[in-house]
Amino acid sequence: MSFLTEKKITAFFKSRKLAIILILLIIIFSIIGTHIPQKSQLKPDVYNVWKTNHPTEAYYFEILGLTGLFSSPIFMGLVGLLFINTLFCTRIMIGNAFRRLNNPQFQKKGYISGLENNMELRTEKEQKHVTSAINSILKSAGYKVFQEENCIVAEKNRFGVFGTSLIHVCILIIILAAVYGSLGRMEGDMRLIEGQTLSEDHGNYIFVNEGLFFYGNHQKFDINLEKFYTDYKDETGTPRGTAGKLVIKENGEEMKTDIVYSNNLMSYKGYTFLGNVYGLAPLLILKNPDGTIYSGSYLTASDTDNSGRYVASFEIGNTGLEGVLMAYMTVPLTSEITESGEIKQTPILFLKIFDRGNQIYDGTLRLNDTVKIYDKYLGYDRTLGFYDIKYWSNFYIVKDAGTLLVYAGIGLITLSLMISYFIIPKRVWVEVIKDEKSDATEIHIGGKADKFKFLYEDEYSNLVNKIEERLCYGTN
Amino acid sequence: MGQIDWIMYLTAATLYALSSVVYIYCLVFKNEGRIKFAANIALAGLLFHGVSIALRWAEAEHGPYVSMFEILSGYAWVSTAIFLIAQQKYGKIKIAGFIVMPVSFLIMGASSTYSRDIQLIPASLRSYWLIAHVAFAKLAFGSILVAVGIAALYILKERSSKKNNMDSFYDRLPRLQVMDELMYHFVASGLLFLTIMIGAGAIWANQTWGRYWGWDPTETWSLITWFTYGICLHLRMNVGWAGKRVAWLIIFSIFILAFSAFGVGYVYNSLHTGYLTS
Repeated sequence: MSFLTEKKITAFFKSRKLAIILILLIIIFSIIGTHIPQKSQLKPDVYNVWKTNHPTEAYYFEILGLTGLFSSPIFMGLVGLLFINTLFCTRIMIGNAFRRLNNPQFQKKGYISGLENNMELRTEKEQKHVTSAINSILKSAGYKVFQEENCIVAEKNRFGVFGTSLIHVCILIIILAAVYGSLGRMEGDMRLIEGQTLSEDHGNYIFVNEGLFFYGNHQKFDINLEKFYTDYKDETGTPRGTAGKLVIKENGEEMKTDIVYSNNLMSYKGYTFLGNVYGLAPLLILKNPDGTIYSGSYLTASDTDNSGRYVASFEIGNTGLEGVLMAYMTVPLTSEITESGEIKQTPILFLKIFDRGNQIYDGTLRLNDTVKIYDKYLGYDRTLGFYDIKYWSNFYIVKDAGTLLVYAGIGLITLSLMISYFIIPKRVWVEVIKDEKSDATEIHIGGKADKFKFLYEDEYSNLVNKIEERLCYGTN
Repeated sequence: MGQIDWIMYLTAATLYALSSVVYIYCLVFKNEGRIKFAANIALAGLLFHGVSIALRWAEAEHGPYVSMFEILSGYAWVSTAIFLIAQQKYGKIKIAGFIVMPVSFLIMGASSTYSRDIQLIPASLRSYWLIAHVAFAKLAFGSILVAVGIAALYILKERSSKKNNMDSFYDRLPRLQVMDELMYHFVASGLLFLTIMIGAGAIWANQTWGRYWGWDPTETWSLITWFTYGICLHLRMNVGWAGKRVAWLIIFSIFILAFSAFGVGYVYNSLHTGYLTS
């Protein structure tokens, strides 16, 4: 690559105007992304409901890649360009900051008189004495003083020059951490019935999303929902809403136990466990005419209906029949009141049975109720009974190694913004000249702050007053 | 107690309205004599408002961050407080109350349209990170609102000086350059508070929803707002934008901030909708 081409590329990427254009484009795409349902933001069932209700929009938006906008190549490309642009700018800013820190710039009368805060003083005192006195005044005001012959440059809050570059470094850290986290990320929903244990394995998630570099690296430890609480109160008696007591086991050995509720997640080996939704899992058993069990299991909701209620769809043994049910806890008029004063609730199932799409049963079942089902292939009745009910809870399980780095980036960016706004570099330049004609000493003094310049005026005036008092009115 | 805090609230709203009228009168009739009076009325309103919030806090056993009534009321209180502190420090910008006080009054008005019923704090809101998130959102809005007030004054002073009919009223405002720096000062503080607000929100989201960022509309709009003020500072520091152009940009940007804070929940189906609309 020729030097000229390299220079052109560098000039393009270090352009601050490019940064503004890229940010504006990211803003525009983000606004579009908030108007169009995003696959990444919605659960698949919610997204599918929208897709069913808006088929035309969904078709065009999907073709244009707008339903996955925040992970689309164009959006990632913009973020990538912003990253490169920030990287170039940061490199230059850090270079400039180090240069300024290591090479204090001495200035002469011409530059000093052009500053907004400048003053010319005259004194009868010796040049050497003058520089020494100014040196001492500046030092006592907290400045770091450098002297070269008759010129002085004094700097305060010197490390503040890194404030802006640090902000940009933090932006780079946050982008990198987010990319690193999302590439190696795994997130999924695991549905556990109270008492059930499932292994942390791909097949046990009802929804799973694995990043490019996760490589299916599931840890396969066992997760047991020991107990589910519909209204958990912590040790201080504070209501915490729904909660699930999770036990993590490896090779049968209990590794960790915790009660997971909102704002109290459990972490294990980089995985975070969060309970989000829950429901009821009834135990349905299909019995042969002689009373022996043909099949049976606890059923968790597999879908939601148009009103968002959980619905469990299931096959009834090998009869070719299909069932759909909704389970609720109800308070019958004859409910007992428990010792703790709560009204005892009893479960009820709304059950529909279909034979190749034709509804053959629609009714309700209470605990221990049964319904006879005619198996036309075998030519006799079987009994489907409702014998138990437990809670199920959905656990959102996520592994994102970038999270702590993102937190670090956010913490550092806050710190660097503070450095940038509160540690403001201030500089004072002085040139002391001997006026041969009058034998007096001329002091040219000027100062400025990098930011909030008008706030510096008072500090500068105080400095000049001190110098004037010491050298123009004071004694040797 | 519920009735007393409401009476205090109404008294505060009335005082904010009165203060707004006096500030606008001072600006329109270029009457400096009444500005201090307007600030004192605003201060009295702030005290009544503060007592109202404290009484409700004691009764509800949680801060002003659960219902929309509390959230908006908190925004008005913090904005007024930041303005009164700022005008105490930079006396010459007192007249910026002609923007800040009417906005605070309007927020109070909007707040009063929501239910005043005390809501129990939901389990998902029981987090210190949420308190930090909401508090810094209010501080950011307050700081930027003061910047908007100064920006408006900047434009008025600049327009007056261009017409060469600089009257003593505008003459007594800070120099244009000083106002430019003050705008920067308050926008920069606003950006810092926005950063902390987003950071605390990300940690809270991770604790509540298991992820720190999910491109939820509210999150996305908070990022858009952050970028907007980032551009604002970038243009001023690196591209040479200063003065009038930045002043207009600051005035325009508050609409993005206000939409992000109050509007997103109504327009989009967001995870925050439940918190920001009831």
